[in-house]
Amino acid sequence: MQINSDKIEFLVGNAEVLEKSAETPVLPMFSEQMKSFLSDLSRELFADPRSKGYKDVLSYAYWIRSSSLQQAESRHNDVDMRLGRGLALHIAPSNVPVNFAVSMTSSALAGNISVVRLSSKQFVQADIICSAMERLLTSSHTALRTYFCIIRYPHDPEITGWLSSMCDIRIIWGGDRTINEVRALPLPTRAIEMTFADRFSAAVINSDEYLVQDSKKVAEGFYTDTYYTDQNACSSPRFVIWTGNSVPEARERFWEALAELVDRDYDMQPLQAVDKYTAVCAAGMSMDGIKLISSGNRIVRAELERLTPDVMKFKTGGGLFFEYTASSLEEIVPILTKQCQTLSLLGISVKDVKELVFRNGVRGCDRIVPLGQTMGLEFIWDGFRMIETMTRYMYYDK
Amino acid sequence: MTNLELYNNAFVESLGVDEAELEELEYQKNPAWDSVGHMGLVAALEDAFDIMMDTDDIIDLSSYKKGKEILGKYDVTF
Amino acid sequence: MIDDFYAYSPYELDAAAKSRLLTGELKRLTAFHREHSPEYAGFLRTVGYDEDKVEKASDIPFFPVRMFKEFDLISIDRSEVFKTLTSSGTTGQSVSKIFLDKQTALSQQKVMARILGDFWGKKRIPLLVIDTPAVLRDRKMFTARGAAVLGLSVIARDTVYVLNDDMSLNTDRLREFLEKYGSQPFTVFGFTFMVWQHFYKELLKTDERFDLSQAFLMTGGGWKKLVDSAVSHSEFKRCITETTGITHFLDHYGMAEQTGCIYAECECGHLHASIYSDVFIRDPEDFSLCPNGTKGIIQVVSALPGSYPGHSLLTEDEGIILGEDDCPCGRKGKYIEILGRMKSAEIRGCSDTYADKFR
Repeated sequence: MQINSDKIEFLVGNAEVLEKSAETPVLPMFSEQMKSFLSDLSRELFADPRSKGYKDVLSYAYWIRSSSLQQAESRHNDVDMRLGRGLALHIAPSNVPVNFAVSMTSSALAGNISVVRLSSKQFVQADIICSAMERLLTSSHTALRTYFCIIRYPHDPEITGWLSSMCDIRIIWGGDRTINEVRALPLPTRAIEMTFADRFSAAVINSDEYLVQDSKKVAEGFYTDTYYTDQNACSSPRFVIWTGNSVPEARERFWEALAELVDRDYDMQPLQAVDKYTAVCAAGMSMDGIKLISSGNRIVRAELERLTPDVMKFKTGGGLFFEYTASSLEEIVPILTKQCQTLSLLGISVKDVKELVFRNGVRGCDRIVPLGQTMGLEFIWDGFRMIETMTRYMYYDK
Repeated sequence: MTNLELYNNAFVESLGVDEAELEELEYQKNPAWDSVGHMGLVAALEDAFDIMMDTDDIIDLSSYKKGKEILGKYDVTF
Repeated sequence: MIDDFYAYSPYELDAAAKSRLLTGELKRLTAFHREHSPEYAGFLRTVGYDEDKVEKASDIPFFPVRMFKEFDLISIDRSEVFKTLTSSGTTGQSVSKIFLDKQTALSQQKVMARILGDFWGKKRIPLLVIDTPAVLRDRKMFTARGAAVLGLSVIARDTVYVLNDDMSLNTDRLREFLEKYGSQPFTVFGFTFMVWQHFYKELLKTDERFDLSQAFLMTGGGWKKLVDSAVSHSEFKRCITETTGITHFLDHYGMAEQTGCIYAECECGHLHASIYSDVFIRDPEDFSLCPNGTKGIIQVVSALPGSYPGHSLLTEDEGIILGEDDCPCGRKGKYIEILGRMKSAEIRGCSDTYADKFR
């Protein structure tokens, strides 16, 4: 099938790379040339003065530095049995700027040719990363030129359909609507698909443990978890669940410390104030037991009488929290639904939560991290071991 | 370059500080060495000495002086 | 009750007197809607409403206007629904639904008549509508555009629609109307965008000159579409005057959720709140009241909504209170400036949010 590639803007790569991708050999998992390319990309990004203002670009650069890649590799004991599957098509989300790079890095280390469709929304972060890649691919890493295409095109099922028809892995990030739209486009019979849909996350805090910690540090971590991405990352806590014997005191200190940071650093748009207020009111109109307990609009808090995932229908970004006081950890089970992604903990044992998940056989909670670290980049996401899933495992008798 | 030169260079390049400030340099005391600057510094040190630092050491790296001590574990001597 | 208000002319009361009248009525409406709309009762519980603490109109909780897009909010028996009003839904697919009983629909018309009468006199005058008669075809289920036209035509004498069904200008009808009424005061009504696109621009194309110098041009429906085509308020007025001779402009602000209580423009170019309604400006930081002259989010209260809980609404528009009781035109009450819709923020993150559904 011929497609008019005039509509496609190439930030990395060109139409030829795309058209010839079927003949491009796949690489072994964690191939030397790919690791070397990524660690050079890390250096390039650290050296680019434009990166300085973007914590997410630097976090990405840090994550793909040589030693971090080595560490990731050392966690696999079957690297010599795995190689790429072919063409990996990534449909990147429209609002987490560096997510495309995380997704692409996984498929590249798996040994695939990576084609990434960026959203039409322009991000400086994407430009910084793409221009660094383009510099390397046209100088010291020309051998990898045929392994990357980063493209942008206006919403067009014909192009997405064409790309889908030749890919071996399709990775879709986005809301339910995007995923369903892309899913309607057929894949080759042997191709696999990974979807990263909209999720919600929760923080669980033991009040007694919290009170012995540095409240300012905790607030900084929680700010990064939430306000840093307008609380719209899937991993951003939306529930804040309190346990222990000092809940009132801990809560007061926690929100006060956070308010100091939010007042200083967060640029809130007037419409966000209305959005958050509207969301709480709508929740309260749809179910009982919800009380708006905050007075300012930067941090909007609603107290729940009963912990239920139903309020997530009303989640909105920019600092809206549903709070609940639990008398035991067991009480969080109802929110561990399919939509629940990350639990971030403070003063709660990981083992206890892990056992809770296994014991109850709940469908949700893919990830448990310390409070303040929900934004960490990992090769394991939404329950997938990203790199392995994107490889072909070749069985042979050793 | 000597190890000391490599070490100093990593700080100067990644944090954009003056060589004269190095002796007294501490994490979070200098605006350039915040949690974001820290990532660049760790990457630069690992690159300079071709090592892979443990997470604990990355967290412990709290001053210019302390860093030298930590690198000792990786057979980097000054 | 609303009848108490009819004893006064629409801009007669000063701040203190108006507050006494309005606060009592708003309190009564809050209690009524709490009793009859379970959703509204849920809202009051969520925000912790305490009737005993209400001293003035601004103490009544503000209900997000977006709720009318998501919930069927109704405080009367369904069998009493006389008309269902829908907003034109300029922002995406969701539409506001407003349920009116006879009483509420009647007071909307009455109040609009009283407000407009204050501007063009008690006498009913001819009305030229820059729209097609099609806006009124379905009487049971009609839009804010239709409601405004209907509201006006009731108080006007002889209504003439000057656009054909396909939005083309019917110059024969226009000529006829002007031959009959052109030498006396009459009203021209249309949504700003329609007046610009389907009236002004069409007139430019014809060689024939029409004299509308006796007309009040009443416009509404916001400037958004015009701003998109880069026409400013003053530019609009200048062009209209040049082509039609119209010099009396009567812009207004209002919303489908509070139909009837329009904020009409006086000779000084100020939009006025009548005794039937009031405006508060809220600080986005904490929804506290902004002093006059400070920009913020607009809250509107109205004594009219009896059949649905729309008597105190938090809008998504920004504005400024320019002054109160002291406009040179002599009308009492607050006068305001509308700055338009709040900008939707560039939101980071990967989630579908609740707010997105309404953008």
